[in-house]
Amino acid sequence: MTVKTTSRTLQSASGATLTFDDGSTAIDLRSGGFGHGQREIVAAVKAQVEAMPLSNRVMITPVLASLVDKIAQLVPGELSVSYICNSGEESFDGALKLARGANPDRDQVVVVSGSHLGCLSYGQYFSQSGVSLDYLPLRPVFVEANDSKALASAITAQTLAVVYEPVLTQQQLLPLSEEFLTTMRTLSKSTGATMIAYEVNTGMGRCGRNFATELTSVVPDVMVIGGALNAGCVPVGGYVTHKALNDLVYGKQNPSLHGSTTGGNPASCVAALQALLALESQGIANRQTQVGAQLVSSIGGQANCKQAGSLVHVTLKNAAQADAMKQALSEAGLLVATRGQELHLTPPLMISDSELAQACTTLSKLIKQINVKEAA
Amino acid sequence: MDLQQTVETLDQHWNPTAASLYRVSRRTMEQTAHNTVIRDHLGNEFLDFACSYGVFIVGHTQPEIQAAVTAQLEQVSIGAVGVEDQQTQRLSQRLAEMLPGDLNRSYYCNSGAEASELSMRAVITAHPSSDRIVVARNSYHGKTLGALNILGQRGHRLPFGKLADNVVYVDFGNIAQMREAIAGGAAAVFIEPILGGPYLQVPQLGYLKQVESLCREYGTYLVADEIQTAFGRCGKMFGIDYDQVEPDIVILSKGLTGGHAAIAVAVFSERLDRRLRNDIQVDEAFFATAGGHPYSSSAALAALDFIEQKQLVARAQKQGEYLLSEMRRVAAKYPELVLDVPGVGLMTGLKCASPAVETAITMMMGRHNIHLGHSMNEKATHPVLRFYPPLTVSHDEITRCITALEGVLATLGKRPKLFLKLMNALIKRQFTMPRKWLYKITGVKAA
Repeated sequence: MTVKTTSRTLQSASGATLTFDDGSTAIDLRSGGFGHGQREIVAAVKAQVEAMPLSNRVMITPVLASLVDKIAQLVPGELSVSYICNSGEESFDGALKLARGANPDRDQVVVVSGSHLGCLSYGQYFSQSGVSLDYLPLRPVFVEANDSKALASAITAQTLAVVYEPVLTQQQLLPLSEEFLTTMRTLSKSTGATMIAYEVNTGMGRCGRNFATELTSVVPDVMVIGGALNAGCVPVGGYVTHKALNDLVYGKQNPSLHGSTTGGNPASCVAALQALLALESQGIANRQTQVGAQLVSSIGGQANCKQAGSLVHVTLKNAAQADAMKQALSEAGLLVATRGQELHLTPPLMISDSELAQACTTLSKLIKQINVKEAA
Repeated sequence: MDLQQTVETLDQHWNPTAASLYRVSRRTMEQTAHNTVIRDHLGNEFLDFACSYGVFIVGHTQPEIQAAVTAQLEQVSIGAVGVEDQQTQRLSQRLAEMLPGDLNRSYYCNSGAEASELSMRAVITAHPSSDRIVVARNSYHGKTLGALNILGQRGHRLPFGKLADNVVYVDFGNIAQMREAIAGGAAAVFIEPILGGPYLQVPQLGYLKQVESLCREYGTYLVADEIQTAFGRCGKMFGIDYDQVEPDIVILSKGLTGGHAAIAVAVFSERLDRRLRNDIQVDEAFFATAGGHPYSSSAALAALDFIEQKQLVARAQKQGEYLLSEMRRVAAKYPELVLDVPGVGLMTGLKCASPAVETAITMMMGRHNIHLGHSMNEKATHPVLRFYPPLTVSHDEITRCITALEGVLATLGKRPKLFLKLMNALIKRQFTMPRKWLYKITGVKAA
């Protein structure tokens, strides 16, 4: 949240709509997330905040039990043991720590290039953000997406973990193939490397399934969740793994070996539980595919589009055109992100039909104008 | 879910050894909390001298903070990418006004460990020639795998293999060792103004000033980790106030939550920030964090108002003197149980003769419905059992705690030495022995 791109300050928000201090509004297709101010969820969080938002960490937090129980019900395969912390960033780091606990002598991490793994030290390092972090003891070994041969030669007996987004979201929007992930699964198992799926950007229904992991039949050793898990209310993240791995590392250890002061705090657990209940009962995952299709259709073939659930990348002629489009959209009350010549559209999961319709109208109108302008 | 189902669920789907501890110590479920008191699902009330190791500077669910936070929940809670929100903006201004010198560039995170990681990459990048970091043995700067590289508490590092080799450890309070480490060329010193955790240690006045001088002399950055000390906990607004030190980065968290929200911030000096942005020209991604949300910032602002209006810093000093002097008076009678009573402000503790003593006092005080900050560190030889009440704690509540402590130590003092010896053996093996045995020894019926 530190990148300041507008002088207006945020005053309130509802659904996908931001309201600024100068009275102006904008529909936010840049931040993703769950969606702001969902009435029932806010009411549930508020009730917990009034009772006890943070724990003094002496007694038992009942809502933490409800949350980890719900996670175990919703995630695929044998994933069943959760660690709850304050952000998806911390969860990814926690997953690497779990892997290191299992194999303390290994230091190589095979990373599927183009994965967007958050902004903590290892997340930045492995996302090829350009920040120099080579003082860190773990070393990334990058592999191109869906190149099973390269993957096979990268994973060795020295591989600590293999990390990936099930659908790459950073540079290109690209689902990892069943074949690639099956190879990864087989090799991880045979070498003892920990397979870690980063679902902060792709989970919670975003890619048309509850978790993008479910787009194939391959289940990782650890799934990292966060982002929209906060229900638009309270920051929260977590990872979920299988019991054997958790027991191997933490099963005979003081529970204080890993943890965080505010990790799993009651208010954040209520927010996450509410987000998961909505995911379970409100058809969020199915709707994302429709939302994405509507966004693609608003472009009307004027530019190439890639879609995964409600994530849409629109390829324009060049970076200058993408920037101009972003600027024009912003002036028309629609916030989008750009990367090079691409527009990246990431609506909140709970964007309303009317907000979506309005966003599509604006996109449709401006994409025509910008193309016309280029042609002239 | 009832209590048994809840513990069973936490055992299966969260943390098995935590669940064991819950069973062995007969923990109940927290339900509500207000000011210094926590109420469980059976209606029992507990005086909170644990405070999640210092989080609840303002106590629990104070109405003024509740009003701000619940109103914020109705407005907007989570920030939007590329947009500043009013609460976070105001908080940055406020922190800049409170901190000395040109400490005025705030970078928000969701936990102290995240802020430590950000600070580490900042000082290593900014320093022209060294990537070495100097930290105190037994210090605490967070437990993420990234922050683990500079964690002074060895026991928490060891199970995770070889970590960064650019870290030098020195004894806290030993200026000769610090001089040697800095003179060897170092990018930064990470230091808690008062060593916290189970190793609570108040340094000699002037120690931090000397560290600052060494840093200035050798061009080493000084990072003050004020997560445990700040906002009055140590009897001053910040731990650095004792020696009037101006670090290059100050890391803040616990008290800033207002007891309501996960939040941490690394406040950089303008000089350091300019070096990174203008001289080195780091990319904007360098500063990226997942923090800075209206919900947590509104809690922090309301907490700062509360601390100021209720004059909690002065209060911590006054009540702290009473608490500490009483703890010392009581503990002096039992030198075989309590070796020392370190502390300043309301950051106080009993340096226990063994983990068994720490656990026994904690459990027996629990029977008096008083929660203490147990170190959860059975490997520490002489763990400090922390007494970190909210800064709103009353004279009577301190008296109640001391009276209970007097009784507990008297009872414990009469126990045969063998009792504590056996208990120590049990504590050291409680996580490794078969659970069936642990439950049998401690009388837990069955899980």
